[in-house]
Amino acid sequence: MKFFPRALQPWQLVMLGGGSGAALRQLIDSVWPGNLGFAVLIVNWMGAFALGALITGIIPKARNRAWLGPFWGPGFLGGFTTMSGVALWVNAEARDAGVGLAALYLMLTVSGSLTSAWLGLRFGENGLRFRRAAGTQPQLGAGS
Amino acid sequence: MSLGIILAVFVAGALGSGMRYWLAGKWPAKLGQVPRGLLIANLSGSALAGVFFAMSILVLIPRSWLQVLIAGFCGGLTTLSAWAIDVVRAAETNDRRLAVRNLLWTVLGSVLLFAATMLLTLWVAVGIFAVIMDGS
Repeated sequence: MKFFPRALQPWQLVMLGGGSGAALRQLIDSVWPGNLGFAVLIVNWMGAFALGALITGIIPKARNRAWLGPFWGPGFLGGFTTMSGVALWVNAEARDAGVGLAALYLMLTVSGSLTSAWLGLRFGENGLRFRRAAGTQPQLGAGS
Repeated sequence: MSLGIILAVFVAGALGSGMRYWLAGKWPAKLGQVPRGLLIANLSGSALAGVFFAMSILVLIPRSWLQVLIAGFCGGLTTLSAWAIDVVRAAETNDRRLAVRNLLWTVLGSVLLFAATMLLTLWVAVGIFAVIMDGS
């Protein structure tokens, strides 16, 4: 596992990650009950949160960030989340279920993914701070 | 969803993601500007998805191909996670105008381009069909 990723170029890692992300998204989409694009909505929320946490929490601390960054960032999470899927569902809903639902879907996508991204960034930072604070001075018995 | 389709989506998604990575490298994000490479990737992916969607309505391509072409290739080419981070970062650095510009260009651009290319493809196809019918 150590040798394998190091032998790969960043663009190769991006392609491997992106393919995996797209395949997983489609798998989730295909098993989601009653589809009106809500699988894509949830996938996008999760992806935005995960990228935030990856950027502030995981990559700065990771030893193997040379392959971890490209594979998970523009690779997996880039392929996992989708903007064309949003465009498709907004148009499909506007046609089949009315403009109101399409507008709601678009608003949920935008507000939800921006909130998720913000939460992910903060989660990554706070997780780090927490770990650093706990690791600097191990004082047994002095507080918890 | 069969293993073959999953593999096809994987390959298409890998190609789309590779293309997005290349675009993002060719037009890298500049301070105070909407990241151009990413915007091009999102807009072109959405436009392409509109063409594929129209082609499936016209039964020019089978419905099952949509999974590979739209969810795979266009889904890999476009992204939402990096865009969301860009908008949040811009808003956090008090560049509200950049955040709003990136938001409107990407979101409205993607949705409207999808609709435009879909309708255009349908319109062109109907035109071609009419010409063929006239000839026969």
